[in-house]
Amino acid sequence: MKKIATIAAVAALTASSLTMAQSFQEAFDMNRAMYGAGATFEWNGKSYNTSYIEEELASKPANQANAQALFDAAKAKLAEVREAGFAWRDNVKYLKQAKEALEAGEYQKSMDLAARSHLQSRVGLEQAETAKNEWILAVPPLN
Amino acid sequence: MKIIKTTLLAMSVAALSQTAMAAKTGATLSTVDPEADRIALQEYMKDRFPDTPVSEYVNGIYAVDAASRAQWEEIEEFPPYELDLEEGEELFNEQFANGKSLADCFDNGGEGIRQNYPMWNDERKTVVTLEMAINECRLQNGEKPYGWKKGPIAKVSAYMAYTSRGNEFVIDIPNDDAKAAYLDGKKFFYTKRGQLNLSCADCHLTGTNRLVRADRPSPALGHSTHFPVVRSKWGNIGTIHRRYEGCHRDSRSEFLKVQSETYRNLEYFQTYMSNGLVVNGPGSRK
Ligand code: HEC
Repeated sequence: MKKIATIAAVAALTASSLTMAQSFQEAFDMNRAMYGAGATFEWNGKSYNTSYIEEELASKPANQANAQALFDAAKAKLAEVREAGFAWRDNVKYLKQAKEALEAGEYQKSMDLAARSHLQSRVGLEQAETAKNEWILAVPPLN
Repeated sequence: MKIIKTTLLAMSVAALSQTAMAAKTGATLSTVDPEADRIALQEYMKDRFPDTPVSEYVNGIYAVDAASRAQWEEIEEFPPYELDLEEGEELFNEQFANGKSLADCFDNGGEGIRQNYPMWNDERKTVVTLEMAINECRLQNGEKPYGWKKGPIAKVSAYMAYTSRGNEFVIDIPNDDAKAAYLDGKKFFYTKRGQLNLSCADCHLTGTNRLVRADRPSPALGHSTHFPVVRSKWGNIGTIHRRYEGCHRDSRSEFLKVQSETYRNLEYFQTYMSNGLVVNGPGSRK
């Protein structure tokens, strides 16, 4: 039933926005929820893909150059999210494991782990952005 | 990539439950009003727990959860921090190699001063916690600083709190620089973060006394009055920053260093919220 719960939750989130003009993020989220990764959708007359950047990067040919590039990108992203103060608990662990796999020549494994770390950093940075305007909403109002 | 889906799902669901209490001001240095914040927090708690007098909030979760209170009162009959207090007093009175002691670094010989900490230091433009002041005193006198989270630092701090029991907190925010530090701490407290997208306030404001897994979070009001604390989970005495570390991690965030600027600002904010409540440290908790 996990899948159903997932779909229901995403539907609840997107239903209200269907009638209004969709932002890119809303269109992406809706198409992603309905069709999964690797599908295409139209938004404002242009064609887009439902994959996350990490999924695209991790599905490149598994070789040393691609694994190293993804590891470097993930490492830089972690530094960025740490600077913003929004790093997640397990992020650095994935990055370390990615490095070990890279050194062991296990390129696909390394790329999957680095992709996971990259995603955590990217969402952490989104949280930081959202927080800028929203944190104050949780404060009990002044009288 | 299953983890990606689960991660994003958790976040979108959390976004839905964004509370809609919505303070309109107080997010910037020009609008933040610590005194109004303090009163608003008290009003919030009075509203949620009409049977709990404000002065009770020094007792954490036991102020609002009658079920666990009886057990805690029994524990407090033979307080688990008694030995720590004795050791803390000895350490406090210990002579440094240069003949001085901790008493020389503090107003009133270090007795009855807990209610002034954390304190804004305007020359250094930073918040100084009691633990930081203790360690800096040792360093200035050629002694090695204590470790930050438990052991001697917590024991000395416990003794100093004990000599201050009953004094009302009077945290001062003397100027705009200090106010910026307060605002930073306030912002940290209310900001959602980590893989679970949780803020301190999700658990200690809206989530007060609601079951979070097997635990009931205490009200944010009065959070720092009773530290340091002996926790049965720790099996010994620890500082409030030790607790911050664990709670920060509970949102599945990478936690910060104890006594980092952010945690000190957080303690400044939290203790300002406790102004008017009395020092009752050290304490004991589950
Ligand atoms: C997932 C829920 C959760 C989050 C998020 C959380 N806490 Fe806690 N916290 C708890 C629980 C449960 C306890 C133990 C019960 C209690 O409050 O004494 C606790 C205890 C504490 C205590 C000790 C209270 C006492 O009376 O001794 C402090 C202080 C504290 N938290 C501060 C924070 C701060 C600051 C943050 C944000 C960085 C935070 N918490 C985030 C659940 C949470």
